[in-house]
Amino acid sequence: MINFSYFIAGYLVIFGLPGAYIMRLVLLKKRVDREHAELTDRH
Amino acid sequence: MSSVNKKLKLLSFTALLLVLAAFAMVLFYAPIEVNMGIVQKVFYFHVSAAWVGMLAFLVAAVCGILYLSKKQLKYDFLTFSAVEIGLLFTAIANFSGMIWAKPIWNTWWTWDPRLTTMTIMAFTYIGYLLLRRGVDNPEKRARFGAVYAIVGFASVPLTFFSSRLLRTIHPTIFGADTGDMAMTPAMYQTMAASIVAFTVLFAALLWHRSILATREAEIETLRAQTETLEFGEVQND
Amino acid sequence: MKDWLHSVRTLVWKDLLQEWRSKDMLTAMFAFAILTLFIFNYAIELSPVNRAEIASGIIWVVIVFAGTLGLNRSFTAEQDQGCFDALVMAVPDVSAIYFGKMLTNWLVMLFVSVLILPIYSLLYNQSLFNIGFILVLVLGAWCYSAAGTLIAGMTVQTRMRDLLLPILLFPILMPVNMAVVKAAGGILAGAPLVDVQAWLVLLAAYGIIITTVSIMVFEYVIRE
Repeated sequence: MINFSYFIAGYLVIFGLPGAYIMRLVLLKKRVDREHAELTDRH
Repeated sequence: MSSVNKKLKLLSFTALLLVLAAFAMVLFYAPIEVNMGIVQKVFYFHVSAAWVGMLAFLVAAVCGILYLSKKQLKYDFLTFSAVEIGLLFTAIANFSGMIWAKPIWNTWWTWDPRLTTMTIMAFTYIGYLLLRRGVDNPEKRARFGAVYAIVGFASVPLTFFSSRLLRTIHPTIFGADTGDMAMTPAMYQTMAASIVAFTVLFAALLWHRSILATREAEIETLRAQTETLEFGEVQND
Repeated sequence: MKDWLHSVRTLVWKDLLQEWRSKDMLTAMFAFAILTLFIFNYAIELSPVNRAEIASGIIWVVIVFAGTLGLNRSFTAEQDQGCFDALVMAVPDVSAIYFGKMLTNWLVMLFVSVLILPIYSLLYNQSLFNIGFILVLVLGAWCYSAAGTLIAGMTVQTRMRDLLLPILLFPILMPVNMAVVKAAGGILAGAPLVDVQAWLVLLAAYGIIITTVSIMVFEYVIRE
């Protein structure tokens, strides 16, 4: 059973880290879009 | 612009599919390894992540060379994205490696040459990102980043060989030997599938990240421009 | 070719002379090295049994840390006074600057080592006057300056300067650390050349590869 929990932990890392990174990219994109709109609206 | 977007969407979708398919293979197709039990299945994506980590570094170094010879900023964005994503996959490889090692050899860390080299590589990546942060001028930033990516990559094989030499001379250092695994054809196929899946995922993430980096740079320029304009307006009053 | 050699020699002479007149960097490196030796005394128990292996490790760590002080300083003169452009114009090829700086850094490191070895021998009652041992240090110091000069050329132009140098340099230097400590330790312990030669080959390979790469990219570090 202990072996199995390591298996779970391993896959949490393997899919969790990329997932977190993708979310970070999504948030970054939103921020970039917002700032782009702000800066171009100024004119 | 929209044909690029379509291709990117297709790539992203394919990446997701491939990863899910590979995971399905890991869960249902690959047999449970005789000696190690179910935790061995972590190994498939651990190796894939390590492979992508190395590939990313190679891409970063190549784009570094391209930047220095062509001076086009798009190569700098590619290098930067490759390093960031490479760091991600190296972290995955390292942590999954530790999680795999613990139940099997009862230790978190083995001074395995490949794992050690990957960890040192991770620090080189981090160094790259810090270097980039320490330079304000975009052109200089790109130049220095390229230089460090190239030198960093050149040091990787040397680091690997010295770690391996250390191991052969000191076999008493507690170590993991992957030769302990009995690999069947189904396992090889699953391994191949995982590697392909992660590689495609890497390509998709790289593309997305470079586009974002390009836009971040655009914003930097826009911001500098508006500041000069506003300053000019204030002066004219 | 004659021009190039002449530039390198002039550059090395200029930097060494500058340093000799002020002596700040040399004194600082030397003091730092001795203090580090003292710290090791309290940190590590040096029984006669493990001394050979540990001696090489301690000496090398001391040299590496003192070396970063020297590396940081090797470009600050040009950086602070904005002389990079003048330097580039004065030499036939930018690689002369790289070689000059690398040689200077190497010589400074050797100088500090030469001072440190007798002091270590004194403090720990262990003779380090072994030709092989010293040669390994010489080789290691070359590899160190080869990489360090390139990296320091960059970090001196960044915002974080001194802080960034070890972070960028040490990962790249790992093979050298391993090779120097193992080879020097082996020689000190009296191991036959056969055991040690792989490490020496590695050091030589590292030096050649890193120097070659640095020569190719150094102009991008110095020139706009």
